[in-house]
Amino acid sequence: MADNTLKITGWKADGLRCPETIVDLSHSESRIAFIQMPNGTGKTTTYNLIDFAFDKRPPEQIDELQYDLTKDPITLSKWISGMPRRFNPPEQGTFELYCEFNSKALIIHLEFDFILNKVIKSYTHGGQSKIKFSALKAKVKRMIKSGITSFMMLDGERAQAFLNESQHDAEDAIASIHQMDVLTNVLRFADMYYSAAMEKTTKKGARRQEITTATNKQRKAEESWNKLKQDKSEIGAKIAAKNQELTDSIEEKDALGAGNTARQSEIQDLKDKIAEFRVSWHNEQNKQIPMMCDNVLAFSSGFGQELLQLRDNLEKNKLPESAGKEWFIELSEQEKCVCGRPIEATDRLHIQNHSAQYLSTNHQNILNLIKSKIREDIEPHSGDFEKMNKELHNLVSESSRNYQSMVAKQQDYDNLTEEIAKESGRQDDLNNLVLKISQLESGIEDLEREKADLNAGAGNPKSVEYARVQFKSAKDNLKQYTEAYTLVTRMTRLDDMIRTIYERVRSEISQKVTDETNETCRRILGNDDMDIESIGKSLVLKGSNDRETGGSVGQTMVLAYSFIQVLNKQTGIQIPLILDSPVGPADTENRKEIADILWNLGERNLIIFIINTEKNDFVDRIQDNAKSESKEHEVMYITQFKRNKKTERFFGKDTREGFISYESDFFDEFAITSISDGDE
Amino acid sequence: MNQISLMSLRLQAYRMVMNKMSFDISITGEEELSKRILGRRPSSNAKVYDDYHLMLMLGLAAGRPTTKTNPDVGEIRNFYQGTSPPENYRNSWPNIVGLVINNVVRDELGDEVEKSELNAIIQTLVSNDAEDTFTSLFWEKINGFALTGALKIIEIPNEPMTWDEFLHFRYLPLLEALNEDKNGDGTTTSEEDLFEEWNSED
Repeated sequence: MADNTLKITGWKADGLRCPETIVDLSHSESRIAFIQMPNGTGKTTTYNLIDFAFDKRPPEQIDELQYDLTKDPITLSKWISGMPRRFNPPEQGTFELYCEFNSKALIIHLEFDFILNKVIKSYTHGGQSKIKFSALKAKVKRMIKSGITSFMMLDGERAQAFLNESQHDAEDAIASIHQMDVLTNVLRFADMYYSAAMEKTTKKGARRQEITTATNKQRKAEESWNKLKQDKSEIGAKIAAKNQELTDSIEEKDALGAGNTARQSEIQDLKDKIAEFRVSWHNEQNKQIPMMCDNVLAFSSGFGQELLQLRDNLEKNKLPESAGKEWFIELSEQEKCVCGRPIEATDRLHIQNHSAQYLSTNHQNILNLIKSKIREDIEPHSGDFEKMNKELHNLVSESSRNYQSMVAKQQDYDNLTEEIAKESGRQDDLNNLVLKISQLESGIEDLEREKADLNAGAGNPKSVEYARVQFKSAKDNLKQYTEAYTLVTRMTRLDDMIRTIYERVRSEISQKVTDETNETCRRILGNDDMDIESIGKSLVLKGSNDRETGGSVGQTMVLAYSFIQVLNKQTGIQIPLILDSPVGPADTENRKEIADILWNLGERNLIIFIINTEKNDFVDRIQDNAKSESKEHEVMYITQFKRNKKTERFFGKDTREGFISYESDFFDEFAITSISDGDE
Repeated sequence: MNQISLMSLRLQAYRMVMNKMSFDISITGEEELSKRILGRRPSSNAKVYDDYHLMLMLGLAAGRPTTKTNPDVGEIRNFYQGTSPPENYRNSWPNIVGLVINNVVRDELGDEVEKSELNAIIQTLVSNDAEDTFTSLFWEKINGFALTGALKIIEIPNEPMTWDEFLHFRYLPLLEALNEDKNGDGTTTSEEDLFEEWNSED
């Protein structure tokens, strides 16, 4: 199942607290490597450096590190500051971890800067040297990102931590290595999109009720717009109908007099006169109206003089062709003045202030338009202002006179009609018709006003245009509410859905991991002493409430190992296992048990750090097992340490600070437990 | 400057002047006018503007703008926001702007006009800084003239008549009085004389 295999093939340290040696584990057949290091020579440092090299977090994102589970976490900078070699401390240090991932070399470089208290991590892989994490091949990135490598470091404390919910979060580990953060990331991105979309709308957190209100508003606005459109389309016909009715009524009124043949010529004469005055009145009006609207000079003879006066003043002002204001503003933005002198900040301010005294292009365009109007329309008539004013007067007077005459003749006609009606006994009919005509006239006037309102611009609340704008705004409003509501609804559904999926997947995976861990653990131990019930914050042992202890060190390590093996299998990534003093605190029987377990694991890449005193009954036992199966070549025995007065004798003429031996005899005979004074 | 660029300049200026307008009208003046003049106006599809124009011309002829806060002119309402004056009136618009400018210049500087002072006045009236072509001061002044016109209308005896009757009986005497005042032959027609003239007719 393990498609991807990670192996550690060695490391090299320089300038650090661990021995400055190159450890080579690349022997093709070795599967177990013992690394014997006396206490105080950097065993734990090496172990932690390997852990740090595989940390899935980039160094700049690391706030705290916890390699010693018995102590509080420490900051990255504190960890770095404890890293340089004590003797003749250097400014820089390096650690290179040599690995193979799917049989291809992968080197992780750690470059320490002890002055800046920084560490830079880079990778050499696939023919590219010292590249950033982001430049790595996707498969390698996925392997590191999964966090599975955090399980390859195993010691008694870490194994125990699997059973301690305050120190481990097995659930999170499973979620992390199964890349379930994809789901939480989807949620995060959806939330980002939602927030950005919400920024654009003013209708934050719209509710159903608000949409209903906005829908009603839009419907009402649409109805009102449609009604006004309908009114507009009908008003012409309504006016025409009223006019027809008016014409009919006038004809009917005329007919009252028509029966009287004796006065027919008198009637016709009055009708002709009315028509004549009406034509004259209209003719004069047609000339007078443009004059009133279009020609301000006609309104007052003084206006012409005033405009000429303005023209003189504008001439005095001599408007330049190019705009003064812009010129000064442009100049104030230049490095140098036109004379070549550099423009200082105070000059700049002075020029900007000065620009306020000049006109801009826009000012001049308006003034030039006024000037040209005066030149073209007013100057040629400069002697005629009084005359133009009189002309308008005459037109208005003439028009009024014709109007008055028309009204007077109309009155005569009305009197005559009344007289005839009286003679023929139809006075009531006439009175009714006069009333009707007057009502029709005022009705038509109202309709004309309504028509003007309907045709007016958006500023008139009775216009079609106003209703159209209102409808558009109501529509936009509803659209925004709907969009906001849809967003909220979608987001809530998505959130629910992802959370449900996340929970379901997590619980299914947990169950599967539980079952497989128990199966593996039983196979190694031969019993179900370490069966787990569930995986929560930690691994929960069956019947854990009734148990006094979680199991022996060996049993716990088997459980931890089984758990890791299942994770390996499920992620498809086979990781090496690095053990730090696995039998330090264990008694003799336990040592043999652990040795047997480790030998029987069949693990391909097992690195075991030990001290001299762990050899009895543990290394010996593995040696015996190897011998009995003729697999001695599968075990490597490495001894390494730093230069010290206790170890000085081993260096001979060698001037290096670190010592390494691959000899099994040397390994067996080496008897220094600690380089501190007093220990031997 | 050649013909085309002068034309495009004028076109640009014309658009600037025409595109944005924000007239105010006194509600009292508008109502009073409606009470006095019945029926159709000269430009039938722009009744409100016809009335505004009439009041504006009367105000300009009277020569002094009224401040917006004058209690006699009643509440002000804004109309024609963002639209152009009706087609019939477009030709007279630059001249009206000119009259307003000239009036303010004359008011502030009298007959002795210094170039820098003229510049300063024009810049406060006609600005390119705001979104509108003219500054609020310009609109204040022009609406002030319309309000003066509204006051003139309120002074007319409250007797409903048609537009033509209004022109004959009210408009012409008022125009004559204003013109005489403007021509300034020393015998200015006072407002009182004008009232007497109106009242004697009734």
